[in-house]
Amino acid sequence: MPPIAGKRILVGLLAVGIPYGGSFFYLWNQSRNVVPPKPRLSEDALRTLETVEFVLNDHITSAEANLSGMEKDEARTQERITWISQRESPYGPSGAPLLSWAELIYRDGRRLESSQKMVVQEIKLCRLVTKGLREGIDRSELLKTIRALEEWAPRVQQTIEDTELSTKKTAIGIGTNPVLLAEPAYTEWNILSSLHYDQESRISSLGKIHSDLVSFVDALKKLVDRSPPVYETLRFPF
Amino acid sequence: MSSGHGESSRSARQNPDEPPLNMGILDTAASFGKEAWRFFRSPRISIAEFDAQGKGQGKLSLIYMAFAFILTSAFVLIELRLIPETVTGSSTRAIKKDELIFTYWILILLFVAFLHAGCRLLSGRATLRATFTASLRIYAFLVPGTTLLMIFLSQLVASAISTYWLVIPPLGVVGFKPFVPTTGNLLIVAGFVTAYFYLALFFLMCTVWALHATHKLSYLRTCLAAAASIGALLLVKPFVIGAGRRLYEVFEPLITPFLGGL
Repeated sequence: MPPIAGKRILVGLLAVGIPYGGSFFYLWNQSRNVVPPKPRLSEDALRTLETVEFVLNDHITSAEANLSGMEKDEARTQERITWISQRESPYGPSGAPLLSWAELIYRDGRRLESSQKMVVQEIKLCRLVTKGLREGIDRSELLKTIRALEEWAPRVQQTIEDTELSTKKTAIGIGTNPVLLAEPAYTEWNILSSLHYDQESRISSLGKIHSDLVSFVDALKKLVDRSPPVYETLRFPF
Repeated sequence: MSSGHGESSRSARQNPDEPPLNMGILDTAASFGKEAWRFFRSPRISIAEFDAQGKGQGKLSLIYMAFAFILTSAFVLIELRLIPETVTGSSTRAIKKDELIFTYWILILLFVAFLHAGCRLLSGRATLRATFTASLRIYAFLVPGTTLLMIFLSQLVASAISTYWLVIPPLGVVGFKPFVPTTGNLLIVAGFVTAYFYLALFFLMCTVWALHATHKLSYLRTCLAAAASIGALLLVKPFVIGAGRRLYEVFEPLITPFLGGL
């Protein structure tokens, strides 16, 4: 190799190596001092989001408490089914309709539980977006969560509607005038109907919470769209 | 780049490669492509041969600038199609359309004015018209060229490190999503920064060559004028961008139909 070629190679290596090494060192040094992006919303918006997050937390706590209440009700219904289905149960001819009614109430309870779990998940995702907006998380991540919420909302709606319909059918399920029931069947009817009314009130409040969440997600989407993107991480000078 | 006196300028005017001045759009496009090719093949010679005070050259520079504007805007439109909507937001308001489409041209014009002032202060001899003709001629080739190369490189690198970058012509890059600083990613980005450094250096060298040829200044003085102009541009840039945004907001309903899907 003639000496001139060696010199050229050396100069070429230096010309590429020095800026390359310098850039690498600069980037490496920057990456060690990465600070999380600051929130870019107004003070008012941040305060509102904080309040909303507080309300969502409250919803989650009460929804989780409701879930454990539902589990207890299911256990009670299961207990009634076991009791009514025993051969020596004292209900006579009313035993069979009472048993089928109890089974329907048990099935409704299971449906209600799964609807409740879906709504709890929905509230948790909303809280995630609210928290992300407050803390200045990348908008694309928030939009992904919002999209997941939007895609999921019709399924939750369908589940709630199915549960509502099934509860309405159960209301006429016993097909017997309770006044005609003799004791102890009348007392059993009262126990089962109180379980059923609890389910009815729960499913109606669940429907309302879900529809509130759908409008809330819509408002969140607009807020995320309006918030400036977090893109100051890399900016070249010219 | 001669100032229009002597043998060299006469030969430049008679150069058979020079485009005739009264030609149609297709002819101009062809001559633009031909001159751009010649410029990128041997920039220094091409700049040295250019006669900034030749007849009709100012008009031709403006026409080439119009071509460059159309080309660069087309590149930017294609680039925007490559970035998913989830990153930029379902409404594309977040993207600074004014910066992408026209604010950088205002900055370039301002930069040329600063360059002229700087050169004149350091005893440069060319007229404002000659400075604009020479500078706009090289920027007409450099802006679309560097934008295209930057878009290509940034898309390549951004996809390698799983993020999204947007090129703001001619040499601006913004990252939409922070990248994970692994050693591999840092090595890739350092490669991009090196390429960026040489591209910016090429941009600057072409500017210096053009000024040196037009103003007949020493390289030291030309570099000083260029450095002072860059400093001045960086100082006024925020105001220009702010004014550009306000102007854009006023004329947005008129501009939007021309931007199509942007």
